[in-house]
This record gives sequence, C-alpha cells and structure tokens, in this order.
Amino acid sequence: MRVSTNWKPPATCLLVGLALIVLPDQITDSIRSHVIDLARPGQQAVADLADRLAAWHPFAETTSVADDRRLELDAAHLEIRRLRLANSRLVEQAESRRSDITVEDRTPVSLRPPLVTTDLVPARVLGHETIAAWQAGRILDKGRGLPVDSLVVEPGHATLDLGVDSGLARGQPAYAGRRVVGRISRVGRWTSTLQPLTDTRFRGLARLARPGRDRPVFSARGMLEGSGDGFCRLALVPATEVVAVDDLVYTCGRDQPDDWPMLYGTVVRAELPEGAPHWEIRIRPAIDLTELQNVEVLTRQLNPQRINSPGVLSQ
Amino acid sequence: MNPLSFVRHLALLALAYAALVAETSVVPQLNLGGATLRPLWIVLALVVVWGRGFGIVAWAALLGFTSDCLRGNGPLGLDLVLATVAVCLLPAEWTRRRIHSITTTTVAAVLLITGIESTSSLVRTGFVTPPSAWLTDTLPTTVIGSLADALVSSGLLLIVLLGLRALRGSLGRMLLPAPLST
Repeated sequence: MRVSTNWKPPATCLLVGLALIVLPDQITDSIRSHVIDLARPGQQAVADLADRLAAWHPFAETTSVADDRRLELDAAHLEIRRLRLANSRLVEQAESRRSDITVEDRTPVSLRPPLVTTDLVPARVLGHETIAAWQAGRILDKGRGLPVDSLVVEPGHATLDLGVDSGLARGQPAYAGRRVVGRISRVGRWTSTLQPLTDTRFRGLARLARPGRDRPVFSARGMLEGSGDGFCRLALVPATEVVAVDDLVYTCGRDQPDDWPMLYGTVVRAELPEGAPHWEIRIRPAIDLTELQNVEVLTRQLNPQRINSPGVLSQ
Repeated sequence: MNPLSFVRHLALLALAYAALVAETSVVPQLNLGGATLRPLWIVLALVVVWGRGFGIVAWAALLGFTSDCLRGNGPLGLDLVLATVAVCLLPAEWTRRRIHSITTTTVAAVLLITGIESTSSLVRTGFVTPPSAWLTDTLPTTVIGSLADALVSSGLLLIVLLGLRALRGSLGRMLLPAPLST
C-alpha cells in the first residue's frame, strides 16, 4: 500500500467489494437497477438537449420568421388599401347625399330649436400679483372707478377675470379643454371665483370608464366629491361593480357641451372594505390646478329663435 | 475538511454523475472504431490528480462500484476491488500530492483504464465461459481492447486538459494587469 501508511481505508473498501461479490444475484440486480435509475434524470436531460439541438435550425428559423413578417406586412398593406378605397367610397356617398338634401330637409319638422343654448366663455385666471395690486388700489382705472370691493376673492379658490358682465353665474361649470376644473362659486361685476373640483363642498355626478378601442367604455355611476387634499373621491359606487386602478372618471348627465362627457380624473386607489356596500375610490384630478391659466365657463341662455317664434296659441 | 476541498469533492461528484449519465446515454451511441470511451475511469484519473490519500481510495471504490452496476455480467464489487487495488498500486508520488502535469495525468489514466478494464474483462469472461485457449486468444485480445479503450479515453482527457489550460492562460492574461515595460 503506497497511498498512505494507513491501511484501514483500502482494507475497508476491499472488504466492502468482497462482500458485494458474495451477495446473491437478486440483491445485486436490485442494487444495479437502483444505480441505473439514478442516472435517469440526467439521461432525460441529455435526450431533451439532443432533441433541441436536432430541432435547432437558426438560419432556417430566421428565414421563416422573416417570410412570415413579410407576408403579414403585405396583408396589412392590402388591408390598408382596401380600407382607403372603402373610405373614399363612403365619402363620395356622403357628399352626394348631402347635396341631395335641401335646406328644409336638414331641419326636422318635428324638432324645434333647443330652448336653451350653451356657450363656452373663455376666461383667464388672475394671478396673485394682480389680485394684490387690485386690493392695494394700484391698478390704473382712468377714473372709471374700480373699487376694491368689486374684486371677488375666496381663499383657496382661483379668481377669474370675468363676472356678471360676461354672463357668468354661480354654479356654472368650468373646463380646461375636456377636463373639469370646477364651477363658479361667487360672481362679481368683473370677476368671479372658481371652486375647484377638489374642494370639500364640490359635488358632481360621475361615471367610471375604461379606455376602449376607440372610445371609453362607461360603467358604474357615482358621486364625485372633493376631498380637500388635492384629490377627490367617488362615492356611491355599488360593491357589485368592477372598479380598477387607472379607470377614468367622466362627468355624467345630459347638460354637457356637445353631449360629450368631460374628464374628472383617474382612479388611483380602489378599495372595497369587507361587508361595505360601496367602493372607496380615490381620484386624481386630470387638471393641475396650480398651473391653471385659462378656463372655459359653460353658460346657458334662452335660445333667441324660440323666444321670437310664435307660440301655438298665437297661430 | 477545508472549504476548497469540499468544493473539489462536490465537483468530482458532479463529474461522476455526468460520467454515469454519459456511460448510459452517449457512449453506447459513439462509434470509435471498436474502442469504448470510459468516462468513469477518466473521472478516476482526475481523482488521482486532484485528490490525496484516503480520498483517492474512497473515490476509486465509489467509481468502481458504479462501474460494477453498469456491467450486466459478473460479480458486483469486482470493479470496486480492482479500482481500489489499482490506485493503491500507483506510485506514491502521484497520490501523496496533487499533480499538475498533464502528461502524468494522461499516463495515469492509461495505466488505470488498461489495468482495471483488462483485469475486469478477463475475470468476467472467465465467469461466463471458461476459456480453453486463455493465454493465446483471450488475454491478448482483452488487453489490446482495454488498451484501445484506455487510449481513447486518455486522448479525450488530454484534449480536455489542454483546452482547460489554454482557457486558464487566456483568462489569466485577460484579467491580470499587463506588466510595465520600459
């Protein structure tokens, strides 16, 4: 034994070997099969690897993928051309029909002009310096009389440069583009204040929507309330409705300009407490109120056409 | 046992399992002109190179036992005994400390594989059919066959070791800073 002076380890191994030699065939067969079974996971891995290598044709795959993409592109081009043709055909049909319609045909006999017409009046938000100058009497008025108390100011509310003289009235909604800003809270002669939608006294009907393919898909309705911390909450949405974060919140009702809903904001948190009948939904306004410079106030007035038209009794 | 030694034994265990899998999946499909690759004995040669003392004997017994299980005939435990005896008969300079010579490793592999394979085959052949012309027919054929197996296996081992050395040299040149020159 030259491995080491200790002869016990080799002797032990030899004894084990000799013991194995004298074992009956049944036991040795069982041991052999168990050891071979140990190799099965590795054999499976080798087989899988061989299959993958056999099925791996990188250049052929690249070529086939490129061919597939080219075919898809050709199909898309054909589809675009077909849609363009269909579109131009529809445009021609629409123009020909429009030319066929007379002026009398355009106005339905059964429908009269609307009683109330709406108008969006653009207004500017007065800055703090302007308000301070006004309050200090430093604005030159050329003797026309600009009393300090004619300026309407409310804490936490923006001041607009339009008032009664422009047809503004309390409660009129104000928008910035398609986004809801708030509503007029106080009106003076030349100025008015704007109650933001985050104000705790702000209320408005609202409905949830999810971005659809070409337009939002509306779902549950609720009541939007300002929470006073720069956010809003949507109340009274039943627990049976489906609400998710990033859902959009639009105005709800019939008195909207162009009959198209305005955007309140986005759902940032939606929780349904156990056993609660309604969702607790937190909304981030779509408009940044601190950066607000211009708004459009929705005004309503009687339609002059209806006022001047003769009544039924007079006929 | 220091951590490095533990890692070395783990690596040997992985190599032994890979050899077991290779013996039962890849090797039977290889056509090497009649010779057979013996991954288990390649691992044994690596054990002799990397190991010391009792560890070599234990690994030889384990690998011999595995080889026994893979053989369909003959007694279980024969390769175990042969592998143990073979590593004990190796020169003491090879087993006392680690060998860094590729040539020595290859020679060790040739000796181990030839000795174990030829002896094992002769004994097993004797168990199945007692040879009548043992010295003139069976012995030379078996020894030549075992030598062929040993040469094929050692050749593969040599290629792998040379490749590892080249890789290590490249990595060393890449990682170590370049010497300053005047």
